[in-house]
Amino acid sequence: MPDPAARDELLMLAAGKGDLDVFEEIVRRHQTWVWRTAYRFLGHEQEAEDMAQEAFLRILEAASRYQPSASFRTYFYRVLIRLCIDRTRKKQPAVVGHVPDVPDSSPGPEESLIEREHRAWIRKALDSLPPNQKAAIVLRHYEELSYGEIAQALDTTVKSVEGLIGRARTTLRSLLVAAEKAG
Amino acid sequence: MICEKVRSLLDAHMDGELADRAGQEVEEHLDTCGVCRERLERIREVKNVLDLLNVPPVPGGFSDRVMAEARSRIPQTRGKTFFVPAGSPIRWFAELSAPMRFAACALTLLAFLLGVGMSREVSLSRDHRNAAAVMGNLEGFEWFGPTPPDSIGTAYLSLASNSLDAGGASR
Repeated sequence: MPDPAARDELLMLAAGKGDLDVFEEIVRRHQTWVWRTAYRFLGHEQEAEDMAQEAFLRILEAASRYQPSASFRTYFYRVLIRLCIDRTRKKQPAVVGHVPDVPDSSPGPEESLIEREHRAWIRKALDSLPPNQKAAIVLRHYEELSYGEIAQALDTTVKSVEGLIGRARTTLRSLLVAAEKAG
Repeated sequence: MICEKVRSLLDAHMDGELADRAGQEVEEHLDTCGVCRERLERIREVKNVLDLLNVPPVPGGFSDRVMAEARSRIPQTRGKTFFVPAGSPIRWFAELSAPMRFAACALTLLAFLLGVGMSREVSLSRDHRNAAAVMGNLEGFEWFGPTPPDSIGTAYLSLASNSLDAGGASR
């Protein structure tokens, strides 16, 4: 039984030797944020579950080669985001500034109509961003990663992350203004 | 700090990413510039709107499904575990019974030996054909054939044979 206080990096090294009990502990520890990030990026429950599951399996596949040179979580973000971006690119090309007509996947029964419309609008606006901008905004706004951690997750520079976040917010802002004017 | 510079730093400033000195300079500029304050406020509005996007809970049984898939991709081989992607030929082989694995290895070895033997035959027959062609060319090359009647060769041979007949000793 793995030690609940053991660091993720040590658990990964044990998983790399074929210990599936340890891998199960990794799944238990990280499933919530992995699912949450995949869902916020993809906006679809089944796709999010598929990508979250595949991310865990990729981690397991690479466990025997894992070198703890960066934090485990940042490494895991990189694997997950790469999968989500690849999935998005396979589905459709990014069209900046265009808000596609995508139905909301999980309306809550207690929400007001206004809240539900807001959520649907946000989903559409996020999906209109190019994949790298969407990834940067999701990791910054929802996962509260630093620019440095986002740069590692996206395999780019801090300067590039600043630009991605700035452009994403500018696009979202202009979509918000357009939506308010449309009433 | 001028507005253009501050505008490029507002996102990082709002995200707490600026070093102390730069952050302080931005704050000082914001104290005196309504345009940049307005711009910062618009960035905050986007942030507030994004906060409205909630997330459903993790689907029930998610970790069980992950582990089931993980176990199906990890065959146990002589106490060592290794991860094999779905659809891999290694995985196909690992899932065979022991007699079937033996048969698969025997067939592969037989096919290999047959292939080696056949390629050797082809190679030898090709070498033989090449050698025969070379020899055929050599037969047409006559080193010791008769010289033409009025040639220097005939004259030389005639002189040589006369001097031999006369018991010609060399001077």
